[in-house]
Amino acid sequence: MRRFSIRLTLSKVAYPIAALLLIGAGLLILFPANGAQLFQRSLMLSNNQPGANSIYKVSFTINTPSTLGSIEMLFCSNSPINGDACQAPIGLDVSNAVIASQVGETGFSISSDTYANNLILTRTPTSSLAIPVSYDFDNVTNPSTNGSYYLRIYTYDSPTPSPPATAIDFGGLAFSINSAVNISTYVPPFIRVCVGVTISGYNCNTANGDYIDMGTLTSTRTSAATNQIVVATNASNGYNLSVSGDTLASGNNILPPLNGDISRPGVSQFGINLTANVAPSIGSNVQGPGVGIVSSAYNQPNFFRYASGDVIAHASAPADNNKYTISYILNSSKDQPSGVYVTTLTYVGTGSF
Amino acid sequence: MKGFRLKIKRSAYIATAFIATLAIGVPSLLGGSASAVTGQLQSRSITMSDANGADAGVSYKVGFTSSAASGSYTVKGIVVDFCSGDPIIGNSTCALPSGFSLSGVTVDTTTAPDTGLGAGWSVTIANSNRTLELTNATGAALNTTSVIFTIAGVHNPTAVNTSFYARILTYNATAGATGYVAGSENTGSAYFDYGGVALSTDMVVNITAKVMETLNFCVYPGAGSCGTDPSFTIGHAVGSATVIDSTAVDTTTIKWTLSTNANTGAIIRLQGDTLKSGSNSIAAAGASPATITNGQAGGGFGLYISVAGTNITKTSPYTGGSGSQYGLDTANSTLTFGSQLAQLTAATNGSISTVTYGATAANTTPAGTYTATHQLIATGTF
Repeated sequence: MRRFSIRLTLSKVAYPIAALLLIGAGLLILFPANGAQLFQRSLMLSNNQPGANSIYKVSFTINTPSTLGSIEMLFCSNSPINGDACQAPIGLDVSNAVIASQVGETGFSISSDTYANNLILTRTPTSSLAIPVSYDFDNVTNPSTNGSYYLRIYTYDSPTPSPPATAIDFGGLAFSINSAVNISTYVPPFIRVCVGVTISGYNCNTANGDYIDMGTLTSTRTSAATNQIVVATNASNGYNLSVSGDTLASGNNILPPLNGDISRPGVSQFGINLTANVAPSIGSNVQGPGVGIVSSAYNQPNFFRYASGDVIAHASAPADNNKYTISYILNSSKDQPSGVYVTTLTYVGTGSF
Repeated sequence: MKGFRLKIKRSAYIATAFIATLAIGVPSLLGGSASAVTGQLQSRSITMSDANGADAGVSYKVGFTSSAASGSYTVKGIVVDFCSGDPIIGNSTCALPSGFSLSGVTVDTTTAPDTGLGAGWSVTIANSNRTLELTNATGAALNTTSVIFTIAGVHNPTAVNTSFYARILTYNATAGATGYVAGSENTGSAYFDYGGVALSTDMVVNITAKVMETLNFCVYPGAGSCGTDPSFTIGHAVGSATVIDSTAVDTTTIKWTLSTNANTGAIIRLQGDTLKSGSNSIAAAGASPATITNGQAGGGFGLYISVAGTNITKTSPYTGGSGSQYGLDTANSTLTFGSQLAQLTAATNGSISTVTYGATAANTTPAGTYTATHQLIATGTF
């Protein structure tokens, strides 16, 4: 509340103007006579949503050291100015408020005179200092609509508020009720399986090639090759990575799949594993930050196996990227019928959400 | 007093603006004395700096022009005598206006607009502080040019809306001024020019206006305006859904507009948590500004003030850091009253700020609908 005082010196010729001004001044609403203004007035809300249950922290600095018996906090929707009619904010309810804390001048309880938009603190009148005070009130119901609202604070020397004109100190403030920012988003179920002869890092966009030519088989050496698979999922129970497809065949002739054996040149064999091997020197252990692991049957160095439908790797929890290197070995006996041996293997990642 | 004529000189009203000037014809038939009267001072006025009754420290600017008919002469004494009853030279009754006093006054004859007299004038106050006597043995040549001097430190009459008067006389001898007696104005020496002035006290007009404490604060979408729900879904389109995933950092902006006349501005606080879906959550950006990269471990969610409005000071970690870095200090933002997002440093009208939110999911972020409720709360300190 501010007052502007304008002083005019009037000449006789200005009397008519002065008369009009005086009449106008007489029409002004006069402020009730209050004491000094409370300083540093603020109202902090824990929740400023319309209609929400909130904690109100009312803070101010007492201006006039005096006997202090009650503090009145009058909430209005139209004006913080003492003397103006107060319109109660719709929806606001302080009648069930409880004092959560009091700092500075203490010993107050909530008066039974409190009603929906008027919160009154009372105590046995005690002398007060000109100090900062703060009161937290739980269980206040906010006004029901967005907008600006006002609080008028009065201090009195009596335990029950007198007419506002008798207040020791007074101060108004404004506060705001606003809708919250509700943020939402959706994380979809996700599993990524990418297969290539090579993959750079974990970037599936770099997956390159889907065909492996293992050359001409001989009985004296093992033919070997690799490809790579990257798997990740946010499935809460992880994933299984399985392989399916027949062993290599040329017409009715096949290269028998291994059931966990080393590479034996001169013996017709087909097998895979997902670990680093020495004989032959091929393959790599699983890489990446994910929690995926290689199934034990395919995780023994230098031992190879192939059974269509086997789960070759898995994770039991959401798994970030893992890169698996699949090692293939082929051996051929001397009596292995000649021909072009081919197969198509399919790797399937299945998330368990 | 055998007779006199009264004349109201309306032109003087206008010239003196706030002071009604009452020109009083000299009593040419004043009894007796060997008068050296030459004529009536013209354009007489006394302008008061403050007409409020009983006010002290008031300046009276006295102005006049010597009678054009009188020709030049050297003025060495000037009397200004303030009377409650009338301005009539020759009337022996001159009562002190109640409350009026010239005690302690000073007279300025040289500082513009003061003019016509030059320096070197002595001030004597007589007759219970109602009569000003200016003397200067050297004097100043008076002709039809204007004379202005200022009497500072006058105490106005007590009563408001009350007329009082001044009698002005000029002498060409200092003894004329120092020997001045109302009704016997030629006691020291004959006066030359003369004139009366009317003044009036009045009441000041006290005008009161009320300015309410104000705090207007609204939060709305970046492309919206006050009153629009600021809630949003963050993400990019995958099919018909808006999702976040590890392929991108998705962003959305909101704005706030704040106006307040609070003396020390306002604090804008953030109250809220990170994005959550049941027990799952997107990692908050943290208590220091940090870059969110797509697919980072745990995902990422935060905000920063990308455009600070007038008088807005950003609070860490919501400053944007080295550029577009995010913050979300959930250790404090989830407290009862949240944590400070920014400060409005002074009373300001229409300060508009923009907040940019960013979010990404990790490969391992469990699927689900994630939500957060953020309250931006402005608190003014009045």
